[in-house]
Amino acid sequence: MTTEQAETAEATPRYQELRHSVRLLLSNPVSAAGAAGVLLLLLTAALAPYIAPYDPLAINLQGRFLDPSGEHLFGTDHLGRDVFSRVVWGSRVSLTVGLITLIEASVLGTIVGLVAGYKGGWVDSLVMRITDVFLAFPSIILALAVAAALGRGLTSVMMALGITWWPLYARLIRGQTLSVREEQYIEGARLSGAGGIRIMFKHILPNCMAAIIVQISMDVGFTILAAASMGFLGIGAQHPSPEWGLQCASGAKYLVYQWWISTFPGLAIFLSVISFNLLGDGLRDVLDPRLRRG
Amino acid sequence: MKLGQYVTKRLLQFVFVLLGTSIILFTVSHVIPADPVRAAAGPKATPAELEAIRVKLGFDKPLPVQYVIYVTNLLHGDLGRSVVTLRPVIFDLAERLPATLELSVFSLAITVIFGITLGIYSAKNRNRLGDHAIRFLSLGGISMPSFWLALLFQMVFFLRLGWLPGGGRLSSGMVPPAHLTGLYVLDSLLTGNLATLRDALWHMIGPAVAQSAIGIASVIRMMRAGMLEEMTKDYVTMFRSAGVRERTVVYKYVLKNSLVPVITLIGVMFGSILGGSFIIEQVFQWPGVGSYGTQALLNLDFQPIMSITLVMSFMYSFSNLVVDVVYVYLNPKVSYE
Repeated sequence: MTTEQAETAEATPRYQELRHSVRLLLSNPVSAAGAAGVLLLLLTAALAPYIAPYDPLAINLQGRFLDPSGEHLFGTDHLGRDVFSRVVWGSRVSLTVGLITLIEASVLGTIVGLVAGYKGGWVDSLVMRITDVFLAFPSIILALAVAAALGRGLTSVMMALGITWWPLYARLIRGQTLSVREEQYIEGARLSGAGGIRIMFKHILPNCMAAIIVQISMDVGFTILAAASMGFLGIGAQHPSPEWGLQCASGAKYLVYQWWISTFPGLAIFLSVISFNLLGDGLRDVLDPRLRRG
Repeated sequence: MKLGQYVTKRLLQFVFVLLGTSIILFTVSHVIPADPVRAAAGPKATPAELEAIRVKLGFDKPLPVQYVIYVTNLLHGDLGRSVVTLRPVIFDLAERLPATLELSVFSLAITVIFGITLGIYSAKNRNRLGDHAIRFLSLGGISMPSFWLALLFQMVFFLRLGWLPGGGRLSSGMVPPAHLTGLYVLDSLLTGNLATLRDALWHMIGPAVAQSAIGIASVIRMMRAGMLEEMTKDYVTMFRSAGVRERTVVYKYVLKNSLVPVITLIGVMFGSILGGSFIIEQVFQWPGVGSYGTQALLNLDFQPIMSITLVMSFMYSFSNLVVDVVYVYLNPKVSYE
């Protein structure tokens, strides 16, 4: 049997399993709502140029502080920019930051976790103590410090969040690796002469994928929140970016009469995060029944 | 292993974590910045100031020597100087720490009390309307950007309704109580100044609620899940079939057992409250360490940022140490791992 044949033979049950999982996920109305929200967010980001009626950066000082209306769905801000268009374009920023951060964190964390779990011994102890230290910083504080050291801007935020987030993945993958390390097929692979790297990436990693996917889906919401908080604090995205946290901050001065400038971007963050959280909970239940809660 | 041994081991671990923290922060402040001297001296430093910082922090020496200088300065309480307030950072921190501590502890108390009560209610009324409402709200709570919640809070309760003050620790015109601890609530209690006490508490409601929303949601979820799991255990069935009243079963046995894991969450909650203080204190003009940090971030005032990170991680690690010891003390079954 050639490799290609082997792959097709393997793909069919996998495909069926996937279809089964998706059906199971969507049969729960709460997860389905989350999936719909995430889909809406993805579509908004992809189609931003077609959905947004105005240029998100176009300043129009004659049209400042306009109330929400048919013309300007979410009103205009202190520079006369259309808040709706800015919220629509902001979805691109938040999704990009959230996903890139998690890709960085999960790739780095997976490699470290695989090595720690597979090698064991002092390597494992050292890695675990290092993750302890990273986890000794309360929530986003280390990320703020790293971003301050790197200088303002979105790139710093993505780097900073990635650096502070990888230990969670390292611990997760280490745990998974420990649980499959002693399985017979790993022993088999070793006896047939496979090297450490091959065993880790070819034989152990596929068994960790479900856990990684579940964890990423549960973390997207939190990275979006963290990035928005950094934008709000002025260390993340810079003017005139339509980033949601930054928009909330710039509207904070006008809460009394122009409530819409801060309210709509905040609502966009809230709805995106809640959608990802619902989807993440649902995915966990479907892909990892051991973690299911009451 | 005895409790004493566990405490010793845990203390050693604490020291190790502090050491690690200092290495990470040293890397962040001395290795990551493109120009660490300029970062430490601030964006507006003159050449003379730059030179002074270079000599003082030993930037012309090899990294290990720089690290030794860094730690020596820390141990002497020299956290550098703020380029905004022009004062040593340690003075600024000492002045502002009580405000942050007071608010954090108050928020933590709200988190624990509301989280546990609502969690119990939710578990007891599983799948009824109240349970669904609480679960929905707690899901909202963990998905809510805290700065947005704080802004909404100000918009509704301060600007529209006028029920709560807009910010600060006391109303303007109010004289702070005599400085004993720096915690206004405690100081006004100790000096018997009830008007100040009321005013101080009134000012804490807004920021504390905004700060505890995420925590309350997590405690509810954990408490609810814990109680539901506990209720399926054999001893519950046994008590019930032996005719013990449901109230007794729930409050005397189930509740006690499901409270223990929630204790571990308290340390985590404290950390997330400290992390959130940057935003909440900024929005509510709370004169604590968090708003100091936000100002420092806006001005790229580097030494205060690094010092706040250090102080907060110290407070967080210490609270986790306390929580772990209490947890093991209350729950001797747990192997001392």
